[in-house]
Amino acid sequence: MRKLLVELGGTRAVAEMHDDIVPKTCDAVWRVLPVEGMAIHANWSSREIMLHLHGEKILRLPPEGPVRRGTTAPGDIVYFWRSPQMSRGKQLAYSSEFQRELSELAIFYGDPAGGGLAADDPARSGRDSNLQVSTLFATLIDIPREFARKCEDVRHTGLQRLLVTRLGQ
Amino acid sequence: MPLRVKAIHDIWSGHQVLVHLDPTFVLPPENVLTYLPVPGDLFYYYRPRNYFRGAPYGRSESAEIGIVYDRDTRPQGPRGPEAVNLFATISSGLEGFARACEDMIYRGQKDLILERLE
Repeated sequence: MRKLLVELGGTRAVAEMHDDIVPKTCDAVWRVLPVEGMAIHANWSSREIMLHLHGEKILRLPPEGPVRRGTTAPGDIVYFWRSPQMSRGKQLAYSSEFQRELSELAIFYGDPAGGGLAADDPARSGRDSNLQVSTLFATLIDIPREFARKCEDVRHTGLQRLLVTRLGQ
Repeated sequence: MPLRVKAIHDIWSGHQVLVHLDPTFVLPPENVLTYLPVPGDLFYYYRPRNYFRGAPYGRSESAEIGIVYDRDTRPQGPRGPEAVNLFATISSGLEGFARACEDMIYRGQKDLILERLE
């Protein structure tokens, strides 16, 4: 399995990709690495930070793998894509380009993950349709305490720089 | 009143900020919101010790005031919607207040003051 290095504010975590379950998504993500930007905290989906992809890093991938039911678990990393004009467009916090296409990597860092990638998240209902896609493609091997604290810190102090790179190979 | 506290953005409910009160400030259910709040609603919420597995917001027991600043919001926690006591609604200045609330997602916590307007 290929591995990812996730760095946030001086802390690190390692994730393993699910090559055996969603190989096309893993290949696509792998090709655009490294990706970097300011991570933002979720406000519907519990303990989750997100990295929006921009420019040539934007991924437009179809659904892949088994349809997931229930919630995510701490450590899960999900690819999410939403078509333009999908959501009411006032939510600057999600992105200054909220009504435009949204392509992002979402990292669930803690427990209680609660709803995780919540069914109650109005911005994500109807996922895995032709308008929205969410694919679980990697999971943190473990969640270092300092990494989780730094994720949590995004809530308290604001955006933090996040870098995702290939580990090895 | 007055309350001078750090507000934090909610992570389950949508466009909502909240402040934590002294957890001994316990009130019974009253004027419980039956479904969705509207922007500007202020509510009180209490959960007793060990209500949730784990400790959301680092608190096993919590008394809170929540302020809804935009649509697409439903007061909820890890298990889903929660009963909250609606006790006030912002009657002016919501637009600027909402901008400040949303800015907390970018920049983190902010000081919040609640005081009587005589």
